[in-house]
Amino acid sequence: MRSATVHAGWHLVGDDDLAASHDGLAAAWSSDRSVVLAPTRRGVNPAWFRDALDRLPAALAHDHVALLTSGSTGTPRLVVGTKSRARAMASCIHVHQDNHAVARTVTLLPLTYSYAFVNQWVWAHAHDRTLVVSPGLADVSATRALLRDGPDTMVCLVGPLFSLLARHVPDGEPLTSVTRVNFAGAPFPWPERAALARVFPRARVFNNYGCTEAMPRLTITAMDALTGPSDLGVPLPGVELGIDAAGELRFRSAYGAVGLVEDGAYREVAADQWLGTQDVAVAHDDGRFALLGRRSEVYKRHGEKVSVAQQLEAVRAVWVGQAAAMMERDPAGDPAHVVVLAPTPSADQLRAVLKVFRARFPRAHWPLRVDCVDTMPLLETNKPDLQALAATVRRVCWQLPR
Amino acid sequence: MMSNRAKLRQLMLDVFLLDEHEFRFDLRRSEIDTWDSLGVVSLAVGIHQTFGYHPTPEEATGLAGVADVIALLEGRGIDLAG
Repeated sequence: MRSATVHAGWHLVGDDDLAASHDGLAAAWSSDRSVVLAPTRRGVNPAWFRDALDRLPAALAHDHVALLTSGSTGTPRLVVGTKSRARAMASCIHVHQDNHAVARTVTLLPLTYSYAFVNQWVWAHAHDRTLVVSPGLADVSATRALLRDGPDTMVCLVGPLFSLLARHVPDGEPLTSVTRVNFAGAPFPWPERAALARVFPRARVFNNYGCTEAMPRLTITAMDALTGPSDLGVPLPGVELGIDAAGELRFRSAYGAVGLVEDGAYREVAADQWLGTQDVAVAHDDGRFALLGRRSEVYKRHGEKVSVAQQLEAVRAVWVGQAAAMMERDPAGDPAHVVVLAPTPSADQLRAVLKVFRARFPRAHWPLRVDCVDTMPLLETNKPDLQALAATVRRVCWQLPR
Repeated sequence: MMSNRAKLRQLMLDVFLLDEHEFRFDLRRSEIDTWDSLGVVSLAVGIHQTFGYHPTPEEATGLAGVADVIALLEGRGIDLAG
């Protein structure tokens, strides 16, 4: 076992620690020591963690847990919750997904993600289940064998990761040990429902919505109860959802964060305080909520609310490659977006994408341009890496005269 | 090198997101669902970017079809024959 890193009374657990052993995390979690999950392989400077921990009140150094998020801003925030709330969240998930018969969980995402940490590590620890670390897509054959043979299994995925995994699962060789599949962290892969049934024929599939500040879950909806790709369902027991004046989805949760370190300062989250999700959504009369997109990806153009997420979802229905959107300003200085495709589409493929804009969206919603790159830079979750994409040389495939 | 006629055809495809098989040189504005008020502006900008002539607002709003665009450009000495 690696020697523990302790700072300001907090037990730091990084990706490399977890790759070596989970014993240190388990020991710290079972003690009264507070634990911070440090995604050291995602470019976060360890000095940033030490500085953030120095800003926490000393009282938080017992029985708390801290997770990192960068949200949509790219600026790291340390989100502090309590171990008891995390355990309660895991139990809530357990009941909501009827996980009693599930014997183990297999990881495909880093456990330093709040999603994987709570849905898998805390769940397995709290409910005495086995947690198996898979090599993921680094060794597809081994991962496939792991998910095909074995006791009833729960996995946590993000949509783009499933698309990649599905390509490596031949027809007639489904991953039959998997009985629960969770999606979170990206729009639910609505067009992939047939592929989900093919790859995981025994599984119940769930769309999980939340954010790290919610630690991390706000809604859980079974795929067969979803009314569409943007449907978030209804809040979990103990969670309140609302829409603020700007259209941002906000929440109060019995499981949520108790404090945050952002912009170099700690602030406490009061029990009755609403927190923003950074997402824009609408509330329906039946109590369900529907997502319009990230706050940074929903903007007004010519008086109309443009949802970049909805547009990318429509593009992905006709485009098998990668698609991303980047915000820019048009020549008049107004906000606008550019759709980026990879690899470069043929003329017919490009026309099919453009046809989607015409068929589904008014002109005010159309992108400024469609750009192309040979290869989309991706994060380890297989989502587009927008920071890297911004630095990538792109070719203009289509441009609307403005 | 692309002829002016081919440039106009491509411009119409790009501005109104037409399918290639939808385009005709006698296509009327009333037949194109995307030739709306913002489309008028976009077409005017596109004509300027492609042919170097910037239609006045009156000219742009008065265009009732591809034939009118051809007439406008030919009236400015831009050859769109053949």
